[in-house]
Amino acid sequence: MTHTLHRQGDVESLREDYVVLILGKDIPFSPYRMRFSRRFPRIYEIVKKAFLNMGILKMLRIINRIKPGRTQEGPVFNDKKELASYLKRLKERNLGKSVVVSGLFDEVNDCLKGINLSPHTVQFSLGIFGKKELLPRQEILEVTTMCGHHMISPRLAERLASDVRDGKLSREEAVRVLSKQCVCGICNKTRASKLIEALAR
Amino acid sequence: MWINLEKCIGCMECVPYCPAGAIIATGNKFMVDEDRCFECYVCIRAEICPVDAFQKAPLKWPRTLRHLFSSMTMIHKGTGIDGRGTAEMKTNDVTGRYGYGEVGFTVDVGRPGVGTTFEDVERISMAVAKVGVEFEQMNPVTKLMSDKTTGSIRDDVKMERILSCVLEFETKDTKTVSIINALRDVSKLVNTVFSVGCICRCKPDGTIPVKKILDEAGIFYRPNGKINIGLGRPLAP
Repeated sequence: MTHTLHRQGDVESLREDYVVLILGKDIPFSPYRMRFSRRFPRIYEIVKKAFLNMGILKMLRIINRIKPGRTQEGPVFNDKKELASYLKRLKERNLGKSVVVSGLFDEVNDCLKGINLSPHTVQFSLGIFGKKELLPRQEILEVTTMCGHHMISPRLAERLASDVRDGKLSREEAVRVLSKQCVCGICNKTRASKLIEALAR
Repeated sequence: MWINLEKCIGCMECVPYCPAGAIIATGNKFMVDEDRCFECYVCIRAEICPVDAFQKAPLKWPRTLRHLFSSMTMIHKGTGIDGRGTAEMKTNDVTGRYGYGEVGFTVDVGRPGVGTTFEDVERISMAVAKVGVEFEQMNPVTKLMSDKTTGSIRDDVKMERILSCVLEFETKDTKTVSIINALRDVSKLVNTVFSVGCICRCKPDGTIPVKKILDEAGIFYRPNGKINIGLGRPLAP
């Protein structure tokens, strides 16, 4: 599960991109989640997606009711101040769950200092190795790597940008289609909108 | 995955959605190239086909691995979680999996978005095994290894194509540079790409021991990454 690690982009763009993951104590084993998702895969996906689409405050209210061992993906932040405020509230709640923040190290560390926390463990991205000529162009990678499982095809990103350019789709509609492919819900819609706009130009 | 040609109207709407680029023309209709298909089911989940022409083909071993490693909605029996690896550093505050003096690596083979075969995965796992690593026992790729000391993968799965998988291993931090050099060397021999992650337990004052090693060796790392902020309880000793 390294799906939030290798997001591409320059520092300015990544300044608006932070993902928070909350993990239960007994991950990786979660019999309740496994059993339910296997038996009712479609319902599981719908419930999960609905949960991810909820607002931050509502989510915080619900966090205490999460069954032990469940993973909570998201939310995604565009703003460092909002991230800091969210982390502060998480700390105050003292949930006992592991919390992982993906984003610019300098910016996240600033947030942590402000709430008297320091990193426990970090993971660096050492970049891409191998046959890089097989990759799409950098601008497309910046869009597709926002879904770490790569459910967003580079051809779809190109097509949506082209449709926006031709006036066949609005930017909002293009982002809706794009982010729908990312089942985890970690695609940053605000950043995606800016990237699609730049691609469409 | 296959497309029911009696239903397909050749509208091409589905073509850009496929991460494998496996939807190809046949006359004025479209079909799925079985060799290329990752069985990720993105085409079905996208709900883009106006006539519901996509149909799931029954999968038999070892083709089942394509779906298991490519669709992120699948749960691996070994790990109990959906996704392609384990919780790695995400729960290190409670598991203590990576301790002081140790370094963890994640090698996402086929990522971003290129795909791979287990033959290439094996090239990488055998290259790092020679340096001396311990593969994560709970990882789904480790479970496909015929020899966990050499990193060799069982023959019957080697040619299966997947969107990506994660090799996870740990070693002493003194071997960090050797591991990265081994990865650089093997990167010239594979027919895919791979994304490398490096995990390190921070000291109580927040300093990151592996950062010094990477800096001194002039090894590139991105300005963004993942931080476990240590809120899990009970904390690992």
